[in-house]
Amino acid sequence: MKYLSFEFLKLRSRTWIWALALGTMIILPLTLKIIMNLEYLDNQVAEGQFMEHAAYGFISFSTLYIFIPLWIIAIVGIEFSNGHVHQVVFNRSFKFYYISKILYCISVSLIFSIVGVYSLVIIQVTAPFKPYVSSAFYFVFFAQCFVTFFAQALLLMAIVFLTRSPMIAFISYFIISFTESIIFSVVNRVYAFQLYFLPFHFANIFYVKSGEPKIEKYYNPFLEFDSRVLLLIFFLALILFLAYKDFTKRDLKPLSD
Amino acid sequence: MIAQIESISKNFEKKRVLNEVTFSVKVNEIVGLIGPNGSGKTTMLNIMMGLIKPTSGTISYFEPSQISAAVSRKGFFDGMTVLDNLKIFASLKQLPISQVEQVLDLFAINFEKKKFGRLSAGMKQKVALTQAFMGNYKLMLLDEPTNHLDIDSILQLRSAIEKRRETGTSFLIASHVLTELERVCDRALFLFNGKIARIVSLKDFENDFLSLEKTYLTLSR
Repeated sequence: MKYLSFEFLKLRSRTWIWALALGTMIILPLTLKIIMNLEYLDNQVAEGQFMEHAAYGFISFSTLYIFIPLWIIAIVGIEFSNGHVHQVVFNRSFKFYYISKILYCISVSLIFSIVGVYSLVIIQVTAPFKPYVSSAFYFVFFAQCFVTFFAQALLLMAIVFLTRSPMIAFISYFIISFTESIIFSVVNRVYAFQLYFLPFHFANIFYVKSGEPKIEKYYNPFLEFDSRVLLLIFFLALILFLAYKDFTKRDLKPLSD
Repeated sequence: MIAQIESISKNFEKKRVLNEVTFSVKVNEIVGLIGPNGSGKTTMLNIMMGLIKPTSGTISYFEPSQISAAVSRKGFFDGMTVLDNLKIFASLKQLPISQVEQVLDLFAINFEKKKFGRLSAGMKQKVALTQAFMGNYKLMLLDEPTNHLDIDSILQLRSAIEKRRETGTSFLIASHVLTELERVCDRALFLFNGKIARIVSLKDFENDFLSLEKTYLTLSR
């Protein structure tokens, strides 16, 4: 609790964070609703797959630059650039800061998962027809959102800890994800092999089988288990461990005016 | 002994910034750290804070958790009010949030509702000092504490240091303001090119108002 209350104390005192939160909570469901309606009216989605499309849409939207990456890279990155990390490490420890950031990633993943559930409820209630989904659908969707977002958040957090700057972290994330997409696409076309284990593609296998965000590859590991998710969990643990080792081993930039 | 610094060396890539620095800070003692820009003062303080690891050497504290520091005006959130920033520090130091209100008077902070990013350099310095003086510590590390401060604030700082010393706090103060150090310090360490060039006791210069300046000039030539 001490970690979470410390994180919450920092977040609640900043107006722009409330604006960002409000924006996320309104823009995400609204955009999704508009797109789903357009797709339906355009006959691009069958009534039976309407809610599945919405679920896929929500997860892939949330992992776009302005949502989860912004919440992780901007907020954690700023703490490196303004010297807050130094103060936490000095007054507490490296471990305290690292754990508090993992808990922050959990909180962000939970919030986005909640937004996901109510976005789908809105879409279901306001759909141009009456789609049928059971309450179990929402439970597994929530679980899927959480693990997907958490995996993404941990990778982004590792990038911030390695680069120690919000701007460099954002550029690095952009370059990595862009390069990954090109490599994935080229290898898939030339060798018909899907490089799902590229870091950000790998983190996607909680919702798309190939790792490449495509609606036809959407699945839910809580309904259809894929053994590769165990490999992903090991991979994330390794990344977290290595980022922590780097954080504690490498000097922080000296604190001075 | 409240802190014992033993043969600390630090290399940044191939450049040696600190070279076998050894000194101690005794209980209830105020020690000044003097040296030209780039002599390694800030690096020494950062090593003592655990933010930078020494290449070699050891530091031992009587009570490692009993250290406070104001080495920079960084570490605050620009978009947050002074009060909220100080509350975060209270939480970090595991102090009750109510303690924040009590320390505002120390440096006459009457701008606690203002956003930190909108403050002048002097006001930011007061906030940085206020967070350091929150709570009771055995050792306080201050880097250029009088930077940007007006005369009233310098007097408040001097008084705060004296009061803390009476309650058993030791200080290590890095500064270029030699006359100020002369007023409060018991000993002064001269750091030149990463090495301790001389350690002087201020008692030896009781009647010489410019003793530190003279020593500095002698060493720098």
